[in-house]
Amino acid sequence: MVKVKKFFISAFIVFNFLIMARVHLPLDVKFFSTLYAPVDTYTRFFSTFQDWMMFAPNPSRTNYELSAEIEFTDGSRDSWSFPKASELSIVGKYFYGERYRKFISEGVRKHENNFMWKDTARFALRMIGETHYNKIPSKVHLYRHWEDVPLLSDGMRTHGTRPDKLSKFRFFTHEVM
Amino acid sequence: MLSYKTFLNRWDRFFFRPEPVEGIAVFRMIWCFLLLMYLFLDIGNINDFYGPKAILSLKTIKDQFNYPHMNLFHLFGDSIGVVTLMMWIYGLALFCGLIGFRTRTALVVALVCMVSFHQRNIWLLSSSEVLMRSIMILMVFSPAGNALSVDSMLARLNSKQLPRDCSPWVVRLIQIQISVVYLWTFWHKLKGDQWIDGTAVYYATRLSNMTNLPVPILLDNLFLIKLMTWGTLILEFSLGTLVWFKEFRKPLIFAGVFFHLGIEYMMSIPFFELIMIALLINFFSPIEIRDYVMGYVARVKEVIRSSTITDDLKSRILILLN
Repeated sequence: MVKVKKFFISAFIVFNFLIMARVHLPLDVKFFSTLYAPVDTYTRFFSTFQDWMMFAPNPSRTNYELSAEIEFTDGSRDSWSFPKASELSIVGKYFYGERYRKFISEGVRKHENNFMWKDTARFALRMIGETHYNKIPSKVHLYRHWEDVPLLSDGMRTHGTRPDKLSKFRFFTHEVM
Repeated sequence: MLSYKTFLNRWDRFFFRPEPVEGIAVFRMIWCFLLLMYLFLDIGNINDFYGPKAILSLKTIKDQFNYPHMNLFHLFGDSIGVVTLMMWIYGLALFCGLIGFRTRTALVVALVCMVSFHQRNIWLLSSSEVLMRSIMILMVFSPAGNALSVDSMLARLNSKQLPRDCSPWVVRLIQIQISVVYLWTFWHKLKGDQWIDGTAVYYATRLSNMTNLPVPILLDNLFLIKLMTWGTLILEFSLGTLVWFKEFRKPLIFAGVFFHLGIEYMMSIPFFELIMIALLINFFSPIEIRDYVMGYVARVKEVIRSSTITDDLKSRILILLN
């Protein structure tokens, strides 16, 4: 009984090794892709892909922000910025600042994640709408803002300095109705 | 050359030779406490991240995850009532895990709730949460409730004793997992020119949305920045490899704790550093932790013996503390 138990535990240990090693294996090779079919089913089920690429291979050099502009049927406009971690207190950063940063910089700004855009626009509409409940919205525009940290060779930026000016690009328009 | 039999013997000794459970029990308490704090901070996010008016709708998530995955929201919907109830259940499970009441069941429930919340919108999350899920899966299989727990007290009241020495395979897997985190990130960083030329810390600390508290002078001096960049590489490699050697283990654990506290101070990466610090506890040997715990328990017993409470109550409490 003990031997059987040890066998299954050992198999689970090896299974975990396979999960950990996945990121370094050539999965385009038939042997590995077949081997990893059950492993991937498990990792997808729990979302435990282990690439561990914190600040690697290089740290990002770009600050990203996101804003929305809403057009109302009466021709007026208003805008709303998604929370910026840089403007939040430590408590705010812990509560939700990092979540929004992650969502903006690695999620919604990317074209391959365009499935998020409509929901994000509607979310902004709800946020702006809370203060314009008497107006009828017609369009919501989403803007990404970004700034590349200047190269060190162009001079050192003092720690804690906020970027002066961010580039701006409208990447999505949601027609309300 | 290593013979097959020798390999099996070493495997057996490494993963299955019984060790005290106090180490994993202490880790269980710290782990559940951290996750409870995380959940507490998340309560304010019900509307924005989880409810029916969240930044991503449940339908969008469902369309993207077109494969089997754990997410109770697909079963029960994302109404505020469901989200709130799940937070309560999750919190209760973590609290039971913390005090060690029905420990394994509590950890299973906590795992299911945690994964569901995480998969409700995975794009909000980072490495911290991947670690949470990976470790929680392992914790479910551990004997973490066999010591420092209500379960063990209840067993003693029934004149039973839960095993205090168990196979440490879960602890070993957690240790390997920690090493893998450090080694993989070290390996990926070696491919980046900024880590090699010593400027990576400069760029990482200039991301305004990731800056936490100001660090004047230290982060404005190129020589110190380069030292920090290369020091990070050396430390991450050491924490992935040398920490397994007796001679380096304790100094590296303490170096790792200071390293993560430093990042916590400088950068806004909520919970990742705290989680890594908590995980490093697993590199203390279970015997060291047992000795520490027993020393503490002995002091508590001494206080109880010298107290003025009735002898009957004293003996009952002392049984619980054995």
